[in-house]
Parts: sequence; structure tokens; C-alpha cells
Amino acid sequence: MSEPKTAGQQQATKKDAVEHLALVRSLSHEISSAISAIERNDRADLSERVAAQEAICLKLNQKSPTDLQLACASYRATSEQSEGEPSLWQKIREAHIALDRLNRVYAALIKRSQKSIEMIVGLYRNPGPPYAKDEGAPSPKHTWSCEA
Amino acid sequence: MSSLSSSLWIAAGALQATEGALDVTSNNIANASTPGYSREQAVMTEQGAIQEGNLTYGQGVNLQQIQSIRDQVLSFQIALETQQQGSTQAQSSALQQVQGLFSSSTQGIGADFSAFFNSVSQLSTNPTSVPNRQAVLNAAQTLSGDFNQAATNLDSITSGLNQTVTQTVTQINGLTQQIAQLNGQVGTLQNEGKDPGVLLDQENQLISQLSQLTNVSEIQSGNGLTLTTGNGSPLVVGNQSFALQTSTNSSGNTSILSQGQDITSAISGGTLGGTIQVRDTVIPNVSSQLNNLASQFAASINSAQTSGYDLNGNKGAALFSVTPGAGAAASLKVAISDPSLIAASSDGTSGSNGNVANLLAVQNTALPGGATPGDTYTNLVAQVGNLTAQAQAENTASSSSLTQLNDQLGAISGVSIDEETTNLVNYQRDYEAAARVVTTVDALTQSVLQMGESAPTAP
Repeated sequence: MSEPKTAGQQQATKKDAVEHLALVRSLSHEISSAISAIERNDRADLSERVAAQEAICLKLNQKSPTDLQLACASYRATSEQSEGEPSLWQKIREAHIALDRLNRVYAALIKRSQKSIEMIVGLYRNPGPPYAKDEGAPSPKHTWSCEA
Repeated sequence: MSSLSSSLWIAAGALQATEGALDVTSNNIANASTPGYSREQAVMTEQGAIQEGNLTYGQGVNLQQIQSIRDQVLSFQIALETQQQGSTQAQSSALQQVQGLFSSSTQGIGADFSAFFNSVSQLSTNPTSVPNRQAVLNAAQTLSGDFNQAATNLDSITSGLNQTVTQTVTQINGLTQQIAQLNGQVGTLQNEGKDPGVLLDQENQLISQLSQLTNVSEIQSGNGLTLTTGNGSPLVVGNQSFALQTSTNSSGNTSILSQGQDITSAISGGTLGGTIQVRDTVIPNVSSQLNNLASQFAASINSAQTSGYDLNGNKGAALFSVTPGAGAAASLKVAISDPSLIAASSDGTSGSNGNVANLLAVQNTALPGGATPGDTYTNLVAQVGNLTAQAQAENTASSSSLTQLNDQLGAISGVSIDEETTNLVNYQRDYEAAARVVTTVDALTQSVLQMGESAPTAP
């Protein structure tokens, strides 16, 4: 049997859940911005967004969903939330549903973009001549006599 | 030859060429926002050199022709993506209608299952009560009625999709007729040595509209443009268009014919492809699951019914009548109208509720499909929801992808190929990193979403 949690520990777990919620929302924002960067072909912005996404994912993976669910339950037990307000866990779930929706779009867009870039890279590795080749010396249309 | 005059002549030629190039640039700027306009590029060619003894004199440059830049790869990708977008848009819109029928596992048929088993449970408290028995019959009626309604609504959606197929084919025929006409005019202009640029742009616009409706292959040949469907059936050859026809097949659906041949299964892109995909694959699959659920549930309840005795002490009769197979959900009916015929008794005595347990057991017993009736329905709802969400995501991604490709097409510049290739390789790296994020986020969200809606009680 686990020892009863102190008020401080409960506060800490609630803090984790609140932080998780904020991170999930930030990740949604970053993915949304990355989609927009892909649309604009803004590679610098895309790189920045992807780096931010990686950093958020790293933080999100530090807490297991089970721990978070327990943290939410602890929060609920303290009755800190008002009547009718969605529970913290519900808010986390809703944020994840929104994230999942965006992630599907992101996945589909990346798949398309990768395919498109691969085709262009292939084309550039085997470029044709940049200028039309001359068909040979044309017979001069103007002669000295003409010009004179 | 290498006199001042010849130098001036070379310079004059170069000026003439530059003037032509400037005209092209002005034209590009003027048409920057014209839909379907393709940027033009001035192609400079070197004038043939003149040999005089041991010396070779260059003759400068000459503006040989104005050539439309159509980046083949990007244009090809745009055409493909346009077809994809038409398809995902049609799928998303049709699936939203299907999702409307199976929106929640706790509503409609899902709620009916719960209500039915609750009424059976109530019956066990007083098995001789006629109102309790009537409540079971009423719940069974509601359940069968909702199965019938879901089947009818799926049929209505299919009918609507058949209408979409017919309307889309009419639109395709209108477009191919216009394209063939333009193609003829382009050929005439080219034969006269004139620039058909404007007509080609109009033609490309129409091809783009056609791509939204169906998958089209474009071939440029000696006869001019040839457009075919996915399986190679001709739509336009030169100045001739080939109209698609529709006919009703044996299952009542609208088939697409090209010169008498059924090409329905070869249509995969555009509105037509997306509509056919939902009509011929998704709806039959949903329908089949609904039919299986109806017939398996009815068989399980009937089996429990016939193992007991009714209020009159007679062997229980089937509660539901159903025609197994394709029309099961539509044919599900309550077979008895007399409440006393519900077989609550296990031994024929009127006060017995021994068989109610058998009826109730159906709620938590797996059907031949592998899940309980409630879970089977929940899975169906989840499946439809997932398909709808995926179609919506694909549609949004398709729009973004088109924006991106059009932006790329407009951004063709004089950047060196080496520089551009390096840039593209960097893009590849970013996409790879983004794809890894997608996988991580997917695992993360799925693990949270699978944990249920409510948090457990605090320890």
C-alpha cells in the first residue's frame, strides 16, 4: 500500500498535469505553424518549428499517461474545480483529440511533400540543358551590300 | 567582318533580343494574377559564328522563341493533387453523412441495446407483469426500428451518391467537349505558325477542372492533346471528345461506361473516384457490419427465447424475425405482439424468471463476430469516425499541398540547380524529422485517448 501523499506532493502532480496540458496545446500550435510553413515553402520557419516540436515531445514523454491520469484524479479529489467545469483530465483528452486531428493533417502533408521533393531532387540530379542549343550557323540574312 | 558596323549589328540584335525578353517579363507581370497563366521565358540562342580564315567571329544572341515554362514535375504533381483533393473532398462529404447515422455509441442503436437489456432486467423483478413485458416489446420495437432506419438511410446516401455520379459524368462530358474544341483551335493556330499561348492556358484551366472530377492522363502527340481516364479510355483525342455514359447496374448503382465498356472500377481520382470509393467500398462495408450485427443479435435473442417458456407455459417463440444476409438490418422486425409470449420462465411456471438470465446473458456474450452486441456497435461507430476523420485530414492536407505546389511553381527562378538541390536536400531532412515527430505524437495521443474519458478515483 502506498503512503498517503502530502499536500505538497498532490500539488506537484497537479502541476505536472497542468504543464502537460499546456505542452499539448503548444505542440498543436507548433504543428499548425509547421503546416503553414510547408504551405509557404518557408524552410527556415519549418526547421524552427520541427526543432520546437522535438523539444516538446521530449518533455511530454517524461510523464506516463497513467501518472497523469492519477494526477488528475488527485486534483479532482481536492475539489478545487468549480461545478460544471470540465475536469483536468477531460481538458487533457480534448487537447489530445485536437492534437490528433492536426497530426493526421501534418502526417498526410509531410507524406505528400516528401514525395514531391523526391521527384524534384531526382529531376535536378539529371538536368537538361538550360538554354536551347543552336541548330547550327544560320545563313546570314544581312550582307554588307544590304547594310550599305 | 569584324568591323565597327558588324559590332553595331551584333549590339542591335542583342538589343532587339533584350527588348523581346522585356516584353515577356512585362507580360508575366501583367498576368501574375491571371488564373491558369503560365510564366513565359525568353529563350536566347547564340547566333551562328562566322569563320574567316583562322578567325571565328561570334554574331551575338538572338531571341529565338518565347517558350512557356511549365515545370513538368510540378505541373504533374499539381494535376495529381487536384485529383486527390477532388476525391478526398467527395469522400469527406459522403462520410460525414454516414457518420451522422453512427455518431455515438451511446445514441441510436447503441442506446437501444442498453434500453432493451434494461427492460429485460426489469422483467426479472416481476416476470408476470404485463407492463414490464410490454416494455421489453417496446424496447425491441425501437431497436429493430432504428436498425431499419439506419439501413434505409444508408440506402438514401447511396442513392444520393448515384446522383452525384450522374451529375459528375455530365460535367466531365461538358468539359471534354470544350477541351476538344480548344484543341482543334490550338492545332489550327500552330499550323499557321501563330502562338496559341492564350488558348493553351484556357485549355489547362479546363484540364485542371476536369482533374477535380476524375483521374486524367495527359499525352501530347502529333494529333495534339490526348486525354484519357485511368484505364486509358479516351476522353479527348485531338479535336474529338468521347462522352462517358452512365447506366444502372444489377445492384441498382450507376455505372460509368466508355464506348460501351464499364470503366467504373478504373475511376480512382477526383469527385467521381471519391464518390465511387465511398459508394462501392465504405458503405457496403458498413452495411455488411450492420447486417451481421442485426442477424447475429436476433439469432442470439431468439435462441435464448426458444430455450424458455412464455406466460402461458408454452415453449418460447422467436422474438425477432430477420432475413439473414444483405438485407438483415432492413428486415429486422419484432415477430410477436403479445407481451405474454416473452419467454421469461425456464420451467413453464408463470412466476419463473429463470430464462431472463439467458436473455440478459446476450448483452455480455460475444456474438460470432467476436464482440458483444454493444461492443460490436461501438467498434462500428469508431470505424466510421476514424474513416471520416482521416478523409477530412487528407482533404485538408491536399489543400495545403496544392498551395505549396502552386507556390513552388510560381517561385521558379534563376537560382542555380546546385543551390536549389542543396535547398531541397535540406527540405528532405526537415521532412524526415517532422515525420519522426508525427510518429511520436501519434503514439502519445493514442495512449492518452485509449485511457478513457474519466480519470480514475484518487487513491
